[in-house]
Amino acid sequence: MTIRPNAGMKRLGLAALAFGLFGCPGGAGGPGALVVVDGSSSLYALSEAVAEEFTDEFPQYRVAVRFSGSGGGLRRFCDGEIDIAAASRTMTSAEAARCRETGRDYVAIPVARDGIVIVTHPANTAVSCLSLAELRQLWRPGSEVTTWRDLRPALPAERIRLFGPGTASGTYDYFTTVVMGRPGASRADHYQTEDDHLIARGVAGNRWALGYFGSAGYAPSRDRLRVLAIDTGFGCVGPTPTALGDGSYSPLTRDLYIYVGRKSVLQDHVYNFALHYVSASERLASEIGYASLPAAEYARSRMLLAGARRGYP
Amino acid sequence: MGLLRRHGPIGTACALAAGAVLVAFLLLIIVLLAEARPVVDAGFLVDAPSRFAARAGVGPALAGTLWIAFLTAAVAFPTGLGTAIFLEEYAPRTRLTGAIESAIANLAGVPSVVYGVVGLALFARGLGLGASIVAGSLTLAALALPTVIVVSASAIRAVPKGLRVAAHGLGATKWQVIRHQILPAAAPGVLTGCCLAFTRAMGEAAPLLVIGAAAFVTFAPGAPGDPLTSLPTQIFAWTARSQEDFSALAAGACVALLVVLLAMNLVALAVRHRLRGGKR
Repeated sequence: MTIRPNAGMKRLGLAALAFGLFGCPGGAGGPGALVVVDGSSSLYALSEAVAEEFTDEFPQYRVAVRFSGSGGGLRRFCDGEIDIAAASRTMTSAEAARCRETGRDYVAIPVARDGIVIVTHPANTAVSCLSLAELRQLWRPGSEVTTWRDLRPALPAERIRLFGPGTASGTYDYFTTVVMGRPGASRADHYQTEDDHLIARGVAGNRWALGYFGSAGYAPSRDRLRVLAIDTGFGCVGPTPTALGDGSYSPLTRDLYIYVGRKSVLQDHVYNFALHYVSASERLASEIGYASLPAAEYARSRMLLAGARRGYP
Repeated sequence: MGLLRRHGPIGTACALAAGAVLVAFLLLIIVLLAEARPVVDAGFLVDAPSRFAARAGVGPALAGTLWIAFLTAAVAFPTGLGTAIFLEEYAPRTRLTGAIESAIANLAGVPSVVYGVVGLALFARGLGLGASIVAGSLTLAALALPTVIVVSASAIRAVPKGLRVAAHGLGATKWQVIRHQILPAAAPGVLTGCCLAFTRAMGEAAPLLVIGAAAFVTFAPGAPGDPLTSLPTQIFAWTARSQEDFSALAAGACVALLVVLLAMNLVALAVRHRLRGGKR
């Protein structure tokens, strides 16, 4: 959106002000053009890094990044408020329907892979691996597990303080889907936030806490947290880069996406930003705490964008 | 001991309290500066935020806060003062105006998050302003408005009745009385109150976070429609991070915010001084 300061603006009424400033979605994509990215907090660290690199390379463009969760971002995306939504899951059918309703045509582009990491306080060495069944027992709606002993009789009778992503988060949707089998099925008597840093702080500050979030939330606090391995029946596997890459940290491995509007791609600044997002992800993903996708995936993502730019379906 | 002899026990206690406030304020500044020193450099006030603490700055957030201060004052001051003048000078003393006055007084005590929710529904979504600087400013203006009205109204009420009667007696019209007698007499009180209301609004993070302040903005906002960012929300974003360096950045941003607020207070003080001087 291009906004030119206008001397007569002050005299306009509020509604006219709103129209004058906001009635020009898209703009020409010239100097000063603005890209707004909103969505998954799991992707926030990557979006932030990409935005910074992008403005270093293209100082004429401006970028703002928000994180209101995958659900929140996709809703704003379908409503046409933002050009690019970051999502830690694919669109639900309800969201796709909303986008169809508003005439928002889009491409979904995988940019990185991450694991949902289960963390505890580093001093809590009593447990190092949880089975999928134990996770289910702990997190199911109306769960009666309140102490570690409830979970496994050999563990201490200390109260488990639980921290997890909020309901607008794609991590929440994904976790509940693969662990409980139904999106949104979770106990609700725990601390919920869209901000990964707060989850990390909460768990690092409580000796008997347990929390989960995307692996990029874990990376900056790796010294202050202990990661649990997950046993799906084939032994305990932790979310190592190898395990994420070859899929053995299943089912808690997932791909992360950006959604880009097809009409937005026609504007230079959005197209350049999206392209930059793909190549920067390939380079930076593992540095920031994600796993990179195979190189062929990134090549495909570039083709998808280039195709959308030329108007191919 | 000299203190006790000179002021008596109650006076001494009051003096100690005043001293404690001063010490607390100095400690606050010193702790913040010490905390901020490792990462704050020359570019801190103009640089954009960064994922590398050493490169990060408060440029966009500072510009956002200045925009918000300007827009909030531009909306809340005339509206609030106008309402106060109407309530005190024009409105008949009925049960309705009494109810309006107590409603406004109650609004002044409503928690700021509530204004955030209202701002989200009314300005960001309802008027379609999105998570922009104007939406944030209008919300903060709504937050400051009740205080502005209450304080202005009581300053106007405190103007001696004799002043009005005398001016009317000399043949001044109602507006002339308000413009030339009441407003100048009430101005110092109005200014003090507005200053308190605006500085409080400038320090608010919660309502702006509810509206959807951006967590990472690469540029200084140049128009009211640009994405919402401000020092308090930037401080929040940085303190939430787990890395130490970002706590230092947050402390630096706190210092910047304090300086902005102090500057606003100083401007109000200077204006008040001039107004007083004019009367003497």
